[in-house]
This record gives sequence, structure tokens and C-alpha cells, in this order.
Amino acid sequence: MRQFFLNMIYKGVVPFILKPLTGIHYKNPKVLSESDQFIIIANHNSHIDTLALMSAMPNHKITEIRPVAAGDYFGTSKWKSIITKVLTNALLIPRCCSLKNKSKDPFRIMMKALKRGQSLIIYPEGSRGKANEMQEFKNGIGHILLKYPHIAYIPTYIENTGKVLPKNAIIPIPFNCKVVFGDLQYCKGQTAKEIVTNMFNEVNALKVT
Amino acid sequence: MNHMINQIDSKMLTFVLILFSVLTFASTLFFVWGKLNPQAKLSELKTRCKSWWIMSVVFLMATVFNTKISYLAFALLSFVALRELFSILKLRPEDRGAMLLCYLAIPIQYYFTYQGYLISSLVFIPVFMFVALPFRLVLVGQTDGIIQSMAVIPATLMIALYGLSHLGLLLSIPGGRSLLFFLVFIVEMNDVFQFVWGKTFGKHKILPKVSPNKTWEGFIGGVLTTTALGFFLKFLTPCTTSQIIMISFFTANAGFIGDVIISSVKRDLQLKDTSAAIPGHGGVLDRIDSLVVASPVFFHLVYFFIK
Repeated sequence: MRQFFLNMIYKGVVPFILKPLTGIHYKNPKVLSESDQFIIIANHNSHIDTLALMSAMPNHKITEIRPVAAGDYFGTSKWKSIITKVLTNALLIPRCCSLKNKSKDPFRIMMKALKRGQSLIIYPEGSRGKANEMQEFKNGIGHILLKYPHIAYIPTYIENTGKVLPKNAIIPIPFNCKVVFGDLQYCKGQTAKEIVTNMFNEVNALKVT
Repeated sequence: MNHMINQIDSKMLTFVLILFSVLTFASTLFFVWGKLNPQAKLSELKTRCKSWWIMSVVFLMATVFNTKISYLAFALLSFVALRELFSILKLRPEDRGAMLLCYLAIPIQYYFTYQGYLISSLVFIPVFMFVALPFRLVLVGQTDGIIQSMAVIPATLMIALYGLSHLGLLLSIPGGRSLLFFLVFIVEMNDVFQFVWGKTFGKHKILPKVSPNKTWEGFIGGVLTTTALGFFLKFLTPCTTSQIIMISFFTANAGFIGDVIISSVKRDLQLKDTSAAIPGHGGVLDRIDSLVVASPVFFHLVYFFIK
């Protein structure tokens, strides 16, 4: 039921909006079927990013993909959080410092989902930046991969979505957008910082292709 | 249905037959060539040929049956071309408002052409949009780099909307559909002829800094062949022999000019293609580059002669 609903949205409704607005073009989407569980590491410029990534997911897997979203932005009101959860299957995490309260610890929430075999979409920049300019990655994902080194991640570069609908804009304007998926990667490095730096370079390298 | 078939007259039927013969000839040629010489690198040409088939069928579907569909199709083409241009040009975030105006101009311009308002179609962009766009930029108040935006944004509208909307204008005059077929066919064939002549006899580069693959042999051979083709397709137009030769000659030249204009824009932006929309051809803009310049030239020459 949930799978049918999400597929209706992401294969039926969203492409109708996405196609004219972005002429979306996916490169190397077959990597998404190469592993059952993965973490998508992508740059983040717009709300369109999640729509574009979810639309690319294989039909049968769509319920198992959880975009990680900021609870302090999407969860500010009850309705906002319900809409976000129902429409995008999102995993809401608080972006700051509530490590004392165990149910609100972002690491525990994400690791619980990984333990269940779910895949994550993570934007390590933390928030939407300027179009086609990458900000530094936050270390959180590095700490998670240190605990789950066997889970593959897919570096992904998303181009131009920040021009279609940048932060604070209300009216979207059409531009051609591209989503470039890299190959499956496993964590490289001893510390969270190293892992994350490698990730940043891998995503950045997709920019030119 | 009867109504639809009535609209397809014998001229158009002849044209459709010619079009499909050319496509079949090309496909057969590449197939036989590939069999005789397996080492020949034909895969790109074959992809291109396949795209030609698809584009031809789409073009016929959009033009043969119903003129309303034709206007929608042209508007869609303008929209995609404009989106492609905005995506490759490096414009400022402050220019979003002006870009939105450009998109909104598409339905208005095609409404004018659909109604056959000749003067309105001709002046709406170069007069009214050319006032509105710079003013919209001024209203934002960001003057850093405003000169470039004021020059580039109206120019994108001329390329993606003004030139192409002459296809719609053509449809609005009597006997326009045959003229439209004539125009699109000779312009696209002109591209093909230039390519074939250049590949077979090309030696002397014509614009080495803009388009290193273009040669004098390709240019002259292409223009002359296109002029001859125009002469043979005279039955699609109400013009006399000398008129059609002149019109075809100038249209072929305009097609070449459109091609090299977009080529030089791509070179400046260090791009090979404007996007990856059409397999083997590149972006939509790569395909219609000659059409956007040739259409107004063709329309106004025809209008001058048959008035």
C-alpha cells in the first residue's frame, strides 16, 4: 500500500512537474540496483534534490529509501512534519545537540534505520547552499560509516537545482538539471574527518563529468 | 477523421513520400555500408539517423493534422530551447525575474502568431519585451553585471522565441503549411548537405577558430545543393522559379550563419553540446540553431515576393 502510494507520487505525479521544470537527466542510474542497501551522499541546493533522487529509485525499493531531513526545519509544526513524512518517507533528525535525549539523538535515529536495512539519502552539507557551489561536509556521516563500514555509499552530484528553486525562492524557474551518480564506494579513512573529506572529493569529482 | 484527411492534400502527400524516401535511403545506406565495411565508425551516424526518424515523425504528427497542435508544438520547442539557453549561460541569481518574464512571453508571442496578427508578432519582442526586460532588471536594483544581463537576456528571447515563432507566422498565411514543410526541410537538409560535402571534399577550413570541422567545400557545396533542392520542391510554394532559387539561396546561407552563431556561443562557454536531449545530435538548440536564423529570413523573403 505504502509502496503503491509512493510509486504513484514519484513515478506518476512528480515527473510531470520535474520534467518541464528541470528536463531532469540521470547519469549512471543503474548503480542504484547494484546494492540492496546504500547511502546516497549528495550536494544540496534545493527542495528539488529530494524529489529528483526519489524519482530515480527502483520501484520495488522506494519504501526502503529514507531521505534524512532536518527536524528543526521540517518538523517545526505537526502538519509540516506529517506532510514531509507521508510524502517523502523522510527520516526527521534534529540538527543540533540533543544527545542527552536518546530518542532525539540523530545518530541513533539514522543507525536504527540502517539496522532495519533501509537506505538513506544524506546531504552532508547540512543545509541548502548557493547553486552549484559546494559547502564543507559535516562529519556526522563519517561517524556512522565508522560503525557500519560494510554499507556502501553512492557519491552523487546534483547540478542546477539551486537555480530552479533556490533557498527562500517561491516561484520555480525552469533550468536543465542533471543528477550524476558515482560508483558504489566503501568508507576510506581511519577517522570521521578523513572519510568525509574523501566523500567530498568524490562528489566534487562528479562535477566535471 | 474525414475532416483531417481532407486537409492532407496531394502536395503534402508528395512531400511526406519524399521525406520518408530520404530517411529510408539514409538508413539503408548506413546498413549496407556497415555490412561492407565493418571497421567503419558508423555508430554515431546511425544514432543520428535514428533520431532523424523520430524527429521527422514528431514533426509530421505536429503539423499534418491540426494547426492548433502545431502552435503548441512550436511553443514547446521554444520553451525547451529557452531553458537550454538559460542553463548554459552564466546569468546572475538576480536575473530570475527577467527570466520568468521570458518564459511568460512564449504563450503571448504564439497567441499573436496563432491569430495571424502580423505586426504584433513582429514587434512584441523587439519593442515591448526589450523595454520590459531591462526594466525588470532595474527594479531588482543590483547593478553589478547588469550590462551583461541587459544584453544577454533579450538576445536569448530573439534566438529561442522570435526566430522560431516565424514558423507559426508561416502557418498563419494562406498555403502556409506547404511553405513550412519547404522551409524546415531545406534548412535541415542544408545542415546534412554541408556535413556530407565537408566530409567528402572538405580541405579548406572556413572558420577554424569557431568550428574546426567546417570547410569552404562543405559550405559552398551545401548552399548550392540546397538551392537546387529548393528548385525541385518549388511545387510546395506559390513562388516563381527565379524567386524560389533566390529564396533557397539566402535561406541556406542564413542556416549556415545560425549554425556558426550557436557554435561560437558554445565555444565561448567551452561546451560541445547545449544538452544531451537528442541522441547523436546533442541539445535541442544544436538541432534548431540554423532554423532560428533561417526562419525569419525565409518568411520575410516569401512575404515580400507573394504579397
